[in-house]
Amino acid sequence: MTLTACPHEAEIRRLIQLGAWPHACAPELRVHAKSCRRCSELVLVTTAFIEARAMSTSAAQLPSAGMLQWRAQLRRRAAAIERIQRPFLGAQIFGSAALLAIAAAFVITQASRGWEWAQALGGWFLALPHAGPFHLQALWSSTSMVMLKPEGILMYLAPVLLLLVVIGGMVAFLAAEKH
Amino acid sequence: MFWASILPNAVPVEALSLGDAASQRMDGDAFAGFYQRSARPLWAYLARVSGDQSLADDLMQESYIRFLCAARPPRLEDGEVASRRYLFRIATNLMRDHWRRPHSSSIEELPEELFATQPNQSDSQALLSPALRLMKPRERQLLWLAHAEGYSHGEIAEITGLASASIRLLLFRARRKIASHLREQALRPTSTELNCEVLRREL
Repeated sequence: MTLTACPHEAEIRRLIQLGAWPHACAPELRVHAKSCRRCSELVLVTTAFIEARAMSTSAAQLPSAGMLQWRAQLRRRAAAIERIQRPFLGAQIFGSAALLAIAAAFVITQASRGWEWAQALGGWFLALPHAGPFHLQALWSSTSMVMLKPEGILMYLAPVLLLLVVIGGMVAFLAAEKH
Repeated sequence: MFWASILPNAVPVEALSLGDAASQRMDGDAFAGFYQRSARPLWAYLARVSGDQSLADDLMQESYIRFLCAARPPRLEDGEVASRRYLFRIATNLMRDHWRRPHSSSIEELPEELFATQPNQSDSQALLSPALRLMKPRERQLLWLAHAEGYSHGEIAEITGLASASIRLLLFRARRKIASHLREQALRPTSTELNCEVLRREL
């Protein structure tokens, strides 16, 4: 397959696009176009496409430019809002991760104390047959001894405070977002 | 403002939507003029290459919206030719994405009625529509851009994303193929001619 271009192609193309083909061009160029395969193909294809373009452009039903501008403005605005909200999504993820970490730490630390609790509860159950009808006071004193140690209070207070901070932040963010 | 108190560097929505890119964008009147001059050729390109007028409507609107929302649109000083090329590039990419989507019908699966000859078509149009149906989508794109829009090989490369060197060969092959289809169509008798022949035999 040879790709050698005919030297007349550019001129014939220009004449077709100007609408000067075939009547307003040199007769020798018309003769050449009939004998040259590349030029005859060019004339055949280009005239067909230019006619098709003219027909299709007249058939187009166009919406107004203002409507497209309005839709573009809406899309730009939505994209801008999404850009603004992206850092807050990170904050939400961080908050959730911190909450999970606190919960996990709480479970791990309390697991070691679980044995003391179990012993206290076991003692309370064993004493039940010998106790009176209101034996709950004994339950409170046996378990609260474990809970009311200074390190025990801190162990409960710290996660609760952190939890409040995180939830408070989230509530503030959601309220602001709604606003 | 609430966000400003939380994030000192936060930018208001209005400012973001009219940022640096917007300063390079066309204003309303300039866009309206550009739209009037470029919408019909763009629609013709989309309709002829896809063979689906309603798809052409959708893709044309989406092309202009993306053009207006572009982060780095062509600069005003580049002129309308650059903007038009950019627009055709968006439309070409949208058409390609449409064909790549699994749920959408491929151009090869489109019903023949979409390419069927209309009664008010001229002779060359009656030949072109069936010939276009026999071409691949990429070939239709290249042929339309070269012969209907008159773009150079470099400009077609920019619009389609193909290498400029390969455009020449692809276009050469596509032109030869559609020319042979057009000649074959021209040699075939039309339905009117066939009816006349049948009537002549019956008489």
